[in-house]
Amino acid sequence: MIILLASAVMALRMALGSDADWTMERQLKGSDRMLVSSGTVHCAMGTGIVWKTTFPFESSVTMTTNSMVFVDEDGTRVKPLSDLPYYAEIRERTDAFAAGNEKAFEGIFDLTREEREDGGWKLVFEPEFSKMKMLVRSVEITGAALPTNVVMQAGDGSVSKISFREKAHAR
Amino acid sequence: MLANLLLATLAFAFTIKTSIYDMVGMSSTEAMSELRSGTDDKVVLICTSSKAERSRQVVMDFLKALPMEYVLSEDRDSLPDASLLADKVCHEDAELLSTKEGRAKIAKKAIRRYVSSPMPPMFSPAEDPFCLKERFLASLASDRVAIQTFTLPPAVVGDIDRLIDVVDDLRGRIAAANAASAGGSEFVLSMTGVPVHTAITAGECRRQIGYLTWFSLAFIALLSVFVFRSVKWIPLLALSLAVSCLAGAAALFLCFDSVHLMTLVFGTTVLGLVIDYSFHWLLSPKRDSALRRNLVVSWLTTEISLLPLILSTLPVLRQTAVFLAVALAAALAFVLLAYPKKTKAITFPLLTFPLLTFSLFLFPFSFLHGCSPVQTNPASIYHSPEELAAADRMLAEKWMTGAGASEDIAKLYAEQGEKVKAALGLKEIRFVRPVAAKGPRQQLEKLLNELTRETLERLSVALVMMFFALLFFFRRRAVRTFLPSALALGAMFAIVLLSEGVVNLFHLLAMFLLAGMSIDYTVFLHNGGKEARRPAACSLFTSMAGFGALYFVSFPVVSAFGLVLGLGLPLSFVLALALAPRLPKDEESVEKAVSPIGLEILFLVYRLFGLSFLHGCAAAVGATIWCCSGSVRSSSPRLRKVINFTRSLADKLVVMAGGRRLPKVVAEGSEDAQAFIADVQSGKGVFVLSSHVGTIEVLTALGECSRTFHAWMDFDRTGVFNRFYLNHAKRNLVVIHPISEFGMGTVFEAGDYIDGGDCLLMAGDRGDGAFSFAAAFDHPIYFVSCIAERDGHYKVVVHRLPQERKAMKNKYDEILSSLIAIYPEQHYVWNDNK
Repeated sequence: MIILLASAVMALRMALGSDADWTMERQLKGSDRMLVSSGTVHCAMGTGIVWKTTFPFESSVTMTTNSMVFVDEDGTRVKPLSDLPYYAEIRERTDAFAAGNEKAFEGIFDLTREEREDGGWKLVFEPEFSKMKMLVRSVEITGAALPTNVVMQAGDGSVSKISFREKAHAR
Repeated sequence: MLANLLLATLAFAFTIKTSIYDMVGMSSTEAMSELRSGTDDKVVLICTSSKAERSRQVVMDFLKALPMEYVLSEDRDSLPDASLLADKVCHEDAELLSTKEGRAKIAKKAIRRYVSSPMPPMFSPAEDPFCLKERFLASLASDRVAIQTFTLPPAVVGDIDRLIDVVDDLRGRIAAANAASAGGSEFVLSMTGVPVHTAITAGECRRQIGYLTWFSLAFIALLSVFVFRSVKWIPLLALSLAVSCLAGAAALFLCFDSVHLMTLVFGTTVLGLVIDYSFHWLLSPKRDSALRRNLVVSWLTTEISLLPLILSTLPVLRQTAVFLAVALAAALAFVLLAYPKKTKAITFPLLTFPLLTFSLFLFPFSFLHGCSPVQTNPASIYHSPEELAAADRMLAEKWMTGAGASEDIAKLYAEQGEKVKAALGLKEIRFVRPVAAKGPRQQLEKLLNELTRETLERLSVALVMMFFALLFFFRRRAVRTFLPSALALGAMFAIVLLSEGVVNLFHLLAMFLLAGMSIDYTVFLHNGGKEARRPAACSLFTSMAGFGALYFVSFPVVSAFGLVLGLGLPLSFVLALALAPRLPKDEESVEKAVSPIGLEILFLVYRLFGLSFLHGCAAAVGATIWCCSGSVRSSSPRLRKVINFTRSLADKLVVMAGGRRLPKVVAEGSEDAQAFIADVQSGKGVFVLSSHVGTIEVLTALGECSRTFHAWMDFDRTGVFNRFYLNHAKRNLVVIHPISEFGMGTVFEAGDYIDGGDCLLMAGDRGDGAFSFAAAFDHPIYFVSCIAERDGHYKVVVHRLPQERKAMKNKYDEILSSLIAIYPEQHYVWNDNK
């Protein structure tokens, strides 16, 4: 289990320093079809993440160390992270987890680890308190050398599946 | 009375309601029950700080620290209650919603959010197709505000005493938390919500009921002591109050399952109302059928004025009207059946001030102003305490519950719904207008305005009914009897408009009572003769004490009654006096404006504050009388004389009553003065001829005059003073003999007094008989006058007079003329009698 977690942590650390193409399929409650979008993600560990959507619309969300920048056809909007406490907390804990702190998500998520048949790993995060569960029931991250898939189940049953393909080597 | 007590005990199974909705009767309609549901037990915590995370933490910590019995367990987790987000939009969206382009932008943003945003949406598109709720919640964080609701358990909400305790504890905890945050510099925590308002209102009601009740009771007791100059009537008055209150309470509990706390606040006014009948009965010298008829008419018109309130749709007013109607009926029955039939009337004169011009001016003004300023907004029911008002204002700012936002959201759905539906693959998208979006405030305002219009119509009907009742009893005098009430109503309508800007429902409801009570005054003042003025005045004072005190209650509903009745009652009283038929002219009396109660008050003032203060009060009274009385001004064009007179009366009062701090009285240094003092001290027996220049009554304050003076005067002419003196005099240095009893025997009696060393005193400027009387005794005769030299200082002017009658009179006239010439403003003659 320890080895499994170490692999996952290493993969996550690598991902946070690399770029990837992503495709997201989202099945929302009440919707009769899958919503598909795709784009790229650029990560620079300790600096920031740029999540760029290229299909079906052009937009981007950039998280830096102290703000979030939203760019779309309506223009650019900047919000300080201090006004987005949930995002800031998730980012901090993720960085800490990637740095090797296994208990980084304690108090907010329960973490379970599984070994996959192909030798990869799966981490399942489930919120600890009930009101959070109404929003996110679970987050599953699977991968091997790098994270390859993220599946988020919302409290209302909606599911978002994001698959990653490595784009560039870590810098 | 026992029956009343039994009924009240049997009917004791009542519930006290405190909610504003119960007060205005909103529990019965479907829409209002929707408004009420889900909010009666929710407390809202609001925290602001420099960091959103800090705000959230403070709220979480506060919630976790609360005792288990305060909060339903599932409320202890974070995040605001989603059920309260039905129509909430952030400011940014509110701006976008107002234009078509903005609404299109919102739709695009929502589609982007659902399709491609990496974070899962907070709500499904079926719940929140345009992400309005999600952005609202996000805006709270960016505004560094944390809002959290928690639910009070049913055991707390259902028990008003427990609720008050819990809310008091919560307020204390919040105050402590804010104090700990360095006086609000780190964060500010506040609380609001329906149960919080309810608890605070209930607590205030209870406190103010207590104050009002004690104030009214104390005032009635005090007034009774002053009016009756005895405490012996207080038990009877207390019994009247007890009977009427118990009867009213019994009726209340039999007719209603629950009683609103406001009813009890209004009910304290009954104390001033029911005591009226007692005062009318006890203060009238004749217990005849005319008095009974007036009491019945008075009661009947008040009951008529209450009838529309009994039929009102507002529960609190129905309850108050039932309580008052039955209490008044019981009070009247008790007075007519149980009060003593023969009682000596107590005098209590009045001053009347003509305000007819004032009301005539205001009355047409109210019509010219028009009827549009008759409206009622919810603020006229209730003003929340400042700490809650601040939290409520913040909620109102943050949470766009206005009908405008809801309309814009409806447009958004109409214009962009299909686009979003197609983009997200939704089966349907439908805007359900939330009940809360209609705005509880707007609903309440609409209801209150309807009630206001309805009340205006009912007031008109009540006035017509009262007029016909008066027509039945008084026939041609009905118009004159009705006119003061009509004028007072018109004037109060205008006064309320001028002071408050609008006439609301509760002002109009108070005018029902004003109409009924003001007619009482007119009935008695126009039909009860002069004797009715005094009890009517007492009735006015008790009603003013009872209703006027309501003005100072913090609830706008209640203070509206205080304003209308506190001003309207005295105004109608004065108008009733001004329009009263002329009474037979009284003989010109010196004591026209003297009051036994006034004398007692002045004596008390003197004993507390001394002679100089009393002189100041006397001067003020003199100035007022001179300003207000045309007859006084014609008798004395110079104000100085009247002030001298009132001051001299004050000195007379204290000397006659044997006060401790007396004016300084010094004899002039003349030979006659020295001889006079020597004769008095040696017990020779002296005859003093006084005059109405100066104040002879202060003579006994001359230290050297320790003998008894026997004075003959018109006892009835200055009866009030004489009775006061008889009640208070300790030293009995002056014995008053009524001039009306003067006869042959008087000469022998007087001879015994003067031979025994006492002095005889008689005015020489009231007829020649005094000179004949003086000449009958072989004792020194002196002209004596006490002239005021300055405030509180008198000089005794003494002249020896010849024993022979004619020479005596001539010298007396000579001295008197010279004194009048020197001291014209101390010549206190107010009529033609000499």
